[in-house]
Amino acid sequence: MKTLWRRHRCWLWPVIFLAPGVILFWGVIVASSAQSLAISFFRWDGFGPMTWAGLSNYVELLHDPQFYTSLKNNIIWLVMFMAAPPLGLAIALLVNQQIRGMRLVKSLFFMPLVMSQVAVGVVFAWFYDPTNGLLALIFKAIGATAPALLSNPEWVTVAVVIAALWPQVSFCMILFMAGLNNLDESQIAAARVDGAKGWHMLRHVVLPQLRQVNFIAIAVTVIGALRSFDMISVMTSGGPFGSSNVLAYQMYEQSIEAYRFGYGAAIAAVLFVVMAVFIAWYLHRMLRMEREGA
Amino acid sequence: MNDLELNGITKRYGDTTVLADINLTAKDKEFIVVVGPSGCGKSTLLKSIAGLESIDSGQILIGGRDVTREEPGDRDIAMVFQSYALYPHMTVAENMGFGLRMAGRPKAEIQKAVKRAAEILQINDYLAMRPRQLSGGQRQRVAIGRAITRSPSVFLFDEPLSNLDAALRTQMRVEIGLLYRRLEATMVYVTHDQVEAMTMATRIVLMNHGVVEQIGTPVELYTNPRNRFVAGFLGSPRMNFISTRAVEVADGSAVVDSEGLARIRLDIHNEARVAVGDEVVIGLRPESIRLDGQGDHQLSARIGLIEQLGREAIAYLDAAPVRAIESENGLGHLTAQTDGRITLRRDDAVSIGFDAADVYLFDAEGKTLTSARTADIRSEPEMVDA
Repeated sequence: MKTLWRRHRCWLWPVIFLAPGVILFWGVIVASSAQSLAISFFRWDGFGPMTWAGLSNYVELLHDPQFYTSLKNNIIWLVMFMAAPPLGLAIALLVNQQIRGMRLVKSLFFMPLVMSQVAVGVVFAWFYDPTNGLLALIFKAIGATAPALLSNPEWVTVAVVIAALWPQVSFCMILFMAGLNNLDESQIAAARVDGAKGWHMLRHVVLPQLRQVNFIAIAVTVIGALRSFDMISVMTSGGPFGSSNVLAYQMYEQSIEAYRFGYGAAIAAVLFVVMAVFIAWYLHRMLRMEREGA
Repeated sequence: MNDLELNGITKRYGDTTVLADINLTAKDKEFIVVVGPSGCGKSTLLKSIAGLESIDSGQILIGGRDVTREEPGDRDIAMVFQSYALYPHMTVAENMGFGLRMAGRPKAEIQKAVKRAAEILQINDYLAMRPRQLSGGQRQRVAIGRAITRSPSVFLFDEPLSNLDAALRTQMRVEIGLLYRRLEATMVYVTHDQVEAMTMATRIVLMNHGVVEQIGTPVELYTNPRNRFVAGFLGSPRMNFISTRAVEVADGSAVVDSEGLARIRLDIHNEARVAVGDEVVIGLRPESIRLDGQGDHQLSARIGLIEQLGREAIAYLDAAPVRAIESENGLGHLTAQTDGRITLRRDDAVSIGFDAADVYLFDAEGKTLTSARTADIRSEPEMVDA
């Protein structure tokens, strides 16, 4: 037994260490994704028998105006979320200054991260409340009437995204703060001797060193935008009239609330393709960075 | 007018004084090497000259202009860092031209300056490469090239050779020497390596605990150390120190005596303050101890260890009851440097000799008491012509 172990331990150890991850990944991610894809070709209420539907779920999706509203909202999420990395960087640069009391400011910026997304959603829903909310009070102070943002189909998505941006910006800030702590000081010193200051220092010396952090911040933000769900669920439930719906929430709505698992799975499949495009780009960039050793 | 003048530079971190009243005037085109043990403040001094560290009091003049409160980029200096500090995302040419670019110089001028510097350092072939594609030695060349491109009044080097292997270090040392000849600029070079200090400097600034111990040409410092610290720092293997006592003090001379060591009469200078009965320390360089028993004074010893280096050999001598303080091997052995063709072996009994003229005398605080001797060796650093 002992010699058997000795002879094979060079491959047994890696297998033992890899097994939990591999099993989880295949069981939870790959297998269930495949099953979802399979369900999308059926009509199924979640309890009764599944009936083969071919591509009809997808055809229905193509003619569903709600699908396009959700897709459009996902794009709004994506575009607006792109403000999180630069805002996070700006705040990180600000709190990175050695000023008295900066530690307190730093921890205040950490706050939204500690709070659960649901709590952030509830807080912002109160903030937007047109009669008693803080926004209403501000408008009242300047003699105007606050718009009912969450019941306005034009503005509701923007309002929800702003709420979701709050913790996202904090998250990016933390990433950049870690990056700023790892800056090569001698490079900064060399650049100072070379006469670089302010914007030039940031653009030519600091930002290039934050390239990897920046990449991670953007990737995390894109993923966050595409899988947005909890804020919508808490603040609007996709309303009014589905105007703040996104693909992830629509999928949930169709499957869990309308008992149309086949249709929900078809939405999931489309969302998966959208994500896959991005993930392919991400992996490509990451592999290239590793090859360059930068 | 490339001179550098430091007047009373003082810097503190909280209660610790890291630089205490540093004064130095580097005349045009000098090669100043600041040397000292780690933590002596030499790097802080260099960073203060560069403007990367602020100073608490004092004044820094470069080319006659007061730059004490100026930004590093406005001081007309260039600096070469130990870690090279190249910008990894820029090509070699961009790295070298960055300073001029920040100064808003026209592209053609930058290109010309980069080309000129690249030719001097023979790095033309790498101009389009990134730093990570270069070896350590090549990177250091680029870092030096970046300094040259700016044609500053003063070049600052912060232990530039510490990250290179021994062979490359020697090569780069010679190259920096040649470069100094060619550029004819003022250079301030910080190192902990006494070989670099001795070989490159026109003048050495020897620092310890934030204080300048002595400033002078390498040979001056080696021949006439102002105190025991300087005597012990320069020279490898280091000077032997032996505790003894003054038994006779006359005008211009003193006699010391201790167990095992015969009475030695030494010339002392006019300001030397020593009285009969004072504890004093004599110093004797390893090359002044002879194993053939020749010399004014002899004592018997036993060979503790021989380190054979080929051209020369280092002998560790047990001369009990005479014991060296702060000895190289911690056993109180005397260190002697001799010819490599030595035939003596461990445990052999030898008669060692030395001349009174080679003996240094220090008081209890470390101040040199013996009178100055002439430095008859060439004091200019030896350099190969290009």
